[in-house]
Amino acid sequence: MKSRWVWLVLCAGGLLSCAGPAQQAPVASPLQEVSVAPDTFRIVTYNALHGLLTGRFGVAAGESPEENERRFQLQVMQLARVAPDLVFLQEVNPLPARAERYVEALKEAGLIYTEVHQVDACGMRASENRALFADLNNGLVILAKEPLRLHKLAGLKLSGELGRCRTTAGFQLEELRYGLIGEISIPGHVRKYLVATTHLHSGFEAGAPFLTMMSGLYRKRMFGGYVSLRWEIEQSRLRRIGELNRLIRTLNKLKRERDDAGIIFGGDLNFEDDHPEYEEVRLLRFLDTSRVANGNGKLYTADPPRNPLIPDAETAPLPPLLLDLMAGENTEIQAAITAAYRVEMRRPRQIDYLMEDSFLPGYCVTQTLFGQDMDNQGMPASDHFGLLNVYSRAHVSCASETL
Amino acid sequence: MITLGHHRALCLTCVVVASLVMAAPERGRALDLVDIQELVDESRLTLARFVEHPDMTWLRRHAQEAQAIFIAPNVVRIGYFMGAAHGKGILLVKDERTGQWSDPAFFTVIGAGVGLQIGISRAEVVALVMTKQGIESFIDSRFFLGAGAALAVGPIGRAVGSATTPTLGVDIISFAKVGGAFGSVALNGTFLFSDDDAGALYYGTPIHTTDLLARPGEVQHWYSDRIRATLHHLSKDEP
Repeated sequence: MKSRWVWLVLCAGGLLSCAGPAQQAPVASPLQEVSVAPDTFRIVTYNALHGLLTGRFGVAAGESPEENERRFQLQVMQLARVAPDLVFLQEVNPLPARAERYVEALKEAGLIYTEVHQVDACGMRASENRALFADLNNGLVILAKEPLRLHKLAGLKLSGELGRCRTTAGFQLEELRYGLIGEISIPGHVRKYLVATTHLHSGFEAGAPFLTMMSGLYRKRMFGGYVSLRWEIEQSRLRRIGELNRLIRTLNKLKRERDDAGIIFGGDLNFEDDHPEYEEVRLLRFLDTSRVANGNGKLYTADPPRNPLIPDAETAPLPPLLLDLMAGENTEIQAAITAAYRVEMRRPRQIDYLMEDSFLPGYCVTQTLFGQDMDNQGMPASDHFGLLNVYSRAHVSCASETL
Repeated sequence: MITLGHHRALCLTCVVVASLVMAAPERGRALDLVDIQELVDESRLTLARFVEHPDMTWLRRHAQEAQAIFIAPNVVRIGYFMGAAHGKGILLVKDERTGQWSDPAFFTVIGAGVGLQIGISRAEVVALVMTKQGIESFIDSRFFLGAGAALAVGPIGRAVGSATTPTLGVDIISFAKVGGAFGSVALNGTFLFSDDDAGALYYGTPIHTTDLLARPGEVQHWYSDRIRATLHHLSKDEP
């Protein structure tokens, strides 16, 4: 009789332990069942170069189909070698076909990715096969490697009022800029992360050395067009600041509403670290992962001396704005301005970034250039180099800095 | 038969109805923190665009003399001889002792009057508040511009120098950009309502506009750092 009670108590205890929360192996969501948090996590941002010649009134192919294919294969080869968990791509054209080709090509290399995309340049498009500029349906793509789960939250218009682009239809009467926002689930992480990519406005680009020289000419009353030049540059900067404001406001709102763990966004941001746009990102409390990984050392993503796909500064035509503004000056001043502009165009710059707000805390990050391989003709896969961030779990302490 | 008198009455009725419709909050969508942050961001960009423009010589030279700055980045104007206007704006006040700028106080702008252009347009407005009386008029919860303060339209042009001085005896000097072009928009006949709800949302705690403007510098929100920095750098003479 006594042993029967002992058995009863043991069985009841066993049943309770089954029903109650496990202490050794916590009952987890389906995501957590996959595995524990990864030891390393790789992110690439890369402007893939659409390969189009865009003018005010039309769009044409800027390279042969063979060149385009060669660049694509070189991109895929480099992506497959690095096997990034997350890829931010800009200038992917045409969508959605090109995004699907990345997925298929990487699958052939044994890597399973999912993709989300957002068109940001569509011209006039009524359907997949009916468009004013058949070759143009350019935009942003995020790829996520298994076991990450990725879904698109928004294709957010950041600037441009006249137009709207969707995957297979849209119209565009002016330059439009978008942000592509997604959300990822990472194994071993209970809360999700927001991820976003963008390609910000590109206007008349000039850095401090060129502007300082132009300002000097203006003060000596040798270049009256400087005021208008400065105004145009400021307009470009203010447009990019407006785009950043909109993207970051929306990301912060989504983070609050969805209780996400953090944010990382990256892309071709078209500014340098001494421009006001960079300060804007800092004041909006986002961190440039380049600074964390490399301190003040720079990785030049737009590097004319090393990238033959960037038009040669000596022979490239001057921008119409500069030609107009210096038209009234004497030939000596025109030559000085032209020479200064060509020097400016040869200057290596970092204009691609990965910016984060509390992304993978407890991991250390390193950053290197991505996409530096050349094909058998000595050409790279894009006119940009990308950035590769490698996050490693900090078991003791980071060699550099822990995020 | 519709007489001219009837026609005017009809227009006036339409304007009043349009003003009320625009003034009412959007149905089904409560004001969000992002909307308020957008107002602050857009106000700053409007100010930067005005200040950097080559034709805004006078504004650049005199902005530092202002005791406060009012910015409304998106005032929608509907006009058909009679007109209505609606928008949101912010006011920042300079601390006399430290020269530091306050955080923004939020306002709703509603206007009705004669002479607004025919059609619908969008205006960006920057107004320099030059006197204490000008600031005090804002602190009144319902400020009717033109009633208690002297208003003037600011001069525009590259050749405009210090000699062109509309500041004497003027409390508020306004600049506007309508449909992409800088021009003059008279603020007379505009009502400003302080929007304490927007303030509460932005600061995360109820703050009365009166307190915010009377004691600039006491409340500092990180999101306002950028607009304060823009105001701080207003003193430069050339773009």
